[in-house]
Amino acid sequence: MDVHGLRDQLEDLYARYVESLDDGPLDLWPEFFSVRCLYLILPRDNYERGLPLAVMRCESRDMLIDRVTAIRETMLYEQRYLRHHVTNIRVRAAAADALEVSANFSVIEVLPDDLPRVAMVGRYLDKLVASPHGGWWFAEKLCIYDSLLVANSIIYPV
Amino acid sequence: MNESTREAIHLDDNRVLHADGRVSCVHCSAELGHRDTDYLAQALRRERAPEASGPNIRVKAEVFVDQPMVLRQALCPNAMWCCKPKSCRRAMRFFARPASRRRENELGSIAPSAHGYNDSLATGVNMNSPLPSSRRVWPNAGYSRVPYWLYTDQEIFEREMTRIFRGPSWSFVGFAAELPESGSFKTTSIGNRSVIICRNRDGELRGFVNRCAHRGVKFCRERLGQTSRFTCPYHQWTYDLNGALKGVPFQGGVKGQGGMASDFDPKQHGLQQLRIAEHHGVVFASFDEHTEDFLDYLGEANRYYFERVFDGRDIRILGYTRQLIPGNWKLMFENIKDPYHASLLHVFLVTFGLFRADQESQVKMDPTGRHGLLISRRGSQTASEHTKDIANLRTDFKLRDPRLLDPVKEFKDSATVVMQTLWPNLIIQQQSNTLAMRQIQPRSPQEFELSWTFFGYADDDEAMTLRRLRQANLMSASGLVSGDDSEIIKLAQDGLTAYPDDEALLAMGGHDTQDEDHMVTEAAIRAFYKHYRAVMEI
Repeated sequence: MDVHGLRDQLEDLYARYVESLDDGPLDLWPEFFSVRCLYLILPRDNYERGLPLAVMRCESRDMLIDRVTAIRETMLYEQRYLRHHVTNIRVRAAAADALEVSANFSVIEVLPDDLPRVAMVGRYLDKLVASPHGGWWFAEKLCIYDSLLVANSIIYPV
Repeated sequence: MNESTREAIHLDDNRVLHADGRVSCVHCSAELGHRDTDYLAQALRRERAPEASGPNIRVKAEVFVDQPMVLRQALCPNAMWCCKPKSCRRAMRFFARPASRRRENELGSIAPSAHGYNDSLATGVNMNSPLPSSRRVWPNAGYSRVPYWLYTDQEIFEREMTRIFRGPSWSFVGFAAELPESGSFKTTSIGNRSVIICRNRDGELRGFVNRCAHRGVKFCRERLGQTSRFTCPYHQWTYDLNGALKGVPFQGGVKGQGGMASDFDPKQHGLQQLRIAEHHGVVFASFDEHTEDFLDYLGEANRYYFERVFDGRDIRILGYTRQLIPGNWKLMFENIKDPYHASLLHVFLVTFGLFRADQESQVKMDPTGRHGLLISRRGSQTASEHTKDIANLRTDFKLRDPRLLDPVKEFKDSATVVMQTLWPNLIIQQQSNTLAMRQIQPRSPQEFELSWTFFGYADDDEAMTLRRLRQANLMSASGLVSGDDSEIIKLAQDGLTAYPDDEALLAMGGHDTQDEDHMVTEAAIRAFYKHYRAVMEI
């Protein structure tokens, strides 16, 4: 496998993924996942203790779309700008049509009347599958956050 | 300095705590009692006729509750009760102002010391003492007005920590299932104080403060763990699973030099103990030895709903989440005791008929007002004549993946939502099949931690566990429903902070505090403040 080519693909994938969250449109976000998938945002202590509870849990692309609809249509929250930063992307296992990738993330949040703050810090543990259209889909994305004390709310996905 | 003066601590402007635990009057050295007892509460509860307090007494104790600046008089047997409340109030206002804004001789013949207050009182350095400023007067409309200084004032906060969280109350601290065997421990907080709950060698639950008796170190940093003893990392002072001090390195000195003072008695320096109550696997703790038995504290109606969820089955912990919410802790209770908002703010709940103003529902309080229940029954996703005021009602929103919301009946009655609020720190959440404890841990007037423990039952099958985990999407920091609440609490705090002298209006459903069979009421919030004011004596 062309390691450098794969690295370029992943850099590009994570950059576009983050762009969908930070700059939108948010409808693009579910498109990064396979139809059957698992997306979890969970605190690190639950993960390490083997406790299953996640603060956001989606088990299909449709559930991701429902979450986007709720963010758009039903939830009340203070408007905010986010910047996700993904670093240390590392391929932990690779086959022709499946990858296991880990990466660090941090989320800077700006509320209208406050200074920017680090809203969340953690690590992705991702499983990717080859998309029939070329490229990769997330079949599983665990967003495991170290910042156990959440700064008020998590409105947007990580 | 000798041992006793070195260790003496001024508890407030009126009381000195000595090394041996005696508490005496600052002004005359009269013995006021012992540190393990809440003298202040006793003194203020004491019903004595005015004349019994001294020859010059002309006012009753109630006056001091409304104008509680004469605390010294309530505490010390040598102090006179104040005979001129007007003079007291003048002096109080005098000291509430900065020194530059006081005129000489303004107080005339009033001797401040005789009234039990002075500059340090006016700057608000203590917590048990009277409130210093004349603006700290509750509005005259019973419980249907709440002054905004209640959400911002540091002194009110300190008083809440003392009187509510360390007073005669039972605070939720965890589940027996989190402490399965001897040596299991958990750290948590009651009010703003860190505490440890652990299971001792005899299998009994014990609680004590997470503060080394030596130099105050918060020695235990793990949230859940297993140990045979607790050792402070600073000087290796070691405590057993009952919190008793078992080891002090170099107590006898080194090579005949140094060592602990000869009168040092390790038995007197254990970790401050908490009382523990456990009911059907749920664990509560209290700082106050006089707190009534837990079941009496819970009361009949609340016991029924408590045992509806905690029926004796083993609990399975599903996980934890924690939020730091930038608002006053009382706003969280107000939110859960407020069915009026649920129909309007929570579009998700309303859209899917999980909680709506036109559904069969009840608001219940215990006789004191301190605990409350919001009970409701699920409806359908249709508009009715009663929903026309709900501007946000969406009847066209369908879930693409309905597994998110696939509730099944699991409790014996027809209620599908029961939100139980237990004074002073717990919300027991049963919304459809998502069950959680929400533990309120105040950090400052403007900030509290909300600590969630999601659970199910040990005998749940896999489908039920998955159902609970999916429905948890509605709750906590990114909850489709409760995310609205933490956001609105921040906006409330942002709004009210600049208006300490204004007040909130709580007149939905009238001015009373009785139970209701509908949701268009703020009675449970009024009942909460009825009890709050009695405990706080404000």
